[in-house]
Order: sequence, then structure tokens, then C-alpha cells
Amino acid sequence: MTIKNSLVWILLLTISLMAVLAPGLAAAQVPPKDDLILNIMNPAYSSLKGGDEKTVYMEVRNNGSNQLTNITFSAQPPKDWTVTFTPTAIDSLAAGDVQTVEITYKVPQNAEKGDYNITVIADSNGLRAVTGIYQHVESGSLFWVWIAAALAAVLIAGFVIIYLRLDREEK
Amino acid sequence: MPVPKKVGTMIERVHEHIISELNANTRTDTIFVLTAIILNLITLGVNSGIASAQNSTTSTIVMSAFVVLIIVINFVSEVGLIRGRQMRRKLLNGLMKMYQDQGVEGYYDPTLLGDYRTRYNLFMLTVLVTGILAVVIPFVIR
Repeated sequence: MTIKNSLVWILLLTISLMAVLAPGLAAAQVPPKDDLILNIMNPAYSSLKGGDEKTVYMEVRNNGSNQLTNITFSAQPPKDWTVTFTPTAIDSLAAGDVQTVEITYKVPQNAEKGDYNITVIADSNGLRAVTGIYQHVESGSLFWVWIAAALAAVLIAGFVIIYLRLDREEK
Repeated sequence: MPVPKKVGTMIERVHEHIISELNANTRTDTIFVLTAIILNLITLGVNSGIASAQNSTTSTIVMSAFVVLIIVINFVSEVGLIRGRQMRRKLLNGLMKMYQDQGVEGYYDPTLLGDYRTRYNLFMLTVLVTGILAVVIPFVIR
């Protein structure tokens, strides 16, 4: 009876130890990984007009287990847009570290109204992370307002002419 | 002097005819005003929707087509309303003359003719203002 009890206790202890140690052992066997995460920090909606400039901040996070070196930034903006990064590159970023990068972009003077997307890319020794900045642009031109004013003037003038002409017939 | 029976019957028929013409005139003018205002508001909605979307040649063509539609509708409506007003004036003048012949003109206030004129002018102004808004607002949004 005593021997049987001891065997049961030993079995239970072994199972408990395995349950506690197994995940740790499994984690220890995972190879180190590289992971770079980009996060635009103030993507609050605001519309710009032709010629306007805007600065947003991007968080660069090393989410891997290795130190990342020589992280460079580039962008794929719409045609005639200019994008600059400050700093232009990060020499090294330790595992778990975060650094903020300033992105300034300028809308061309002749930009048409619409929604635009700037693709932001970070490269580090073969590792690549991509994110996007959405930007709405309003038309800065008063061309269509003048067209509207001209049409309204034509409408009013036409009304007055027809009214006076037909009113004279009535009298 | 008593009116002969046959003439009296004819006057009654003419009176009925004038009244039915006045009713038809009212209906026609109501249709003109309502149609113009409703179409102006619909066009305002459609063109505003187009204007707030991405600019393109197609959207400009569609907007222009709707602007032409607004202008045509408003001018047709204005001409129709002025003609309707003229017709009403003629019918009411005939009615007044008939009342004078019958010696009952005291029951009809001639200033009503002036009131009708003011009312028609206000209708036309409403149509014109909604038309102008329907033209201007989408282009300002754009």
C-alpha cells in the first residue's frame, strides 16, 4: 500500500514538473527572430491644400530578439510630392527598443482634390517593414467657384429678362 | 331689367367654364412649382454627391448635364408661371365683368388680382433661389 502510494506521488510530481518546465524548454528552443514594426503615431484626419506641408511622427519598434542595424527609410509618394525623414536612418536599434522618426511631406501646388496614400518603407539588412499614410487633399483653386458664380449670374439675368419681357406683354 | 332665360343659362355655363379653367390653371401652376423645386433639390443632391467624390472628366460632364437640366427646368417653369398668371388675370377680368353685368361685383374684391400677382412672383422667386442653390453649392463643394 505504502509503495503504491509512493509510486502515485512520484508520477504526479513528474507530470507537474513536466507541465511547468515544458513551455520554458520549448521557448528556449525557438531561434532568435528579427521583427521591425512601423507605426504612424498621429494619423488624425486633416485635409490639406496644394502647397501645404505636414509633419507626422512614426514609431520604429524592434520587436525581434536581435539588435537591428542600419535602418534606412524611403517613401513612395504620389507624383510631385516630397517626403523627408528626420533622422534619415537609424544606426542601431536594440531588441525591444523604440525610436521616433519625423516624416514631413509637402503637397504639390497644383495637386487635385482627392485621397492620397504615401507608402513608407524601412529597410534593415534584408528586413523590410512597410506602412502607409493616408492624406486627403482639398482643392485650393477657386476656378469652380467662379464657374458657379457665372452660372448663377446667367440664371438670374435670364430670369429677369424673361420676366420683364413677358410682363410687358401682359401690360 | 330681367335677364332672358336663355342668356341666363349661357352666362351660367360661361361662369362654370371660367371656374373650371381657373381650377385647371391652379393645378398646372402647382405642378410647375412643385416639379421645379423637387427637381432642383434632387439635382442639388446628385451634383453634391458627384462633387464630393474624386474629380474626373466623367464627373464634370455629368455635373454639367445636370446644370443644363436645372437651367432648362427653371426657365420652363418661369415661363409657365408667368403665362399661368396672365391666364388667371384674363379669366378673373372676365369673371369681374360678368359680376358687374349681374350687379354683384361688390362681392368680389378686385385687389385679389394684385394678391395673385404677388403670390406668383413669390413662387417664381422660390424656384429661382432653389435653382441657384442647386447650381452653386456643388461647385463650391468641388
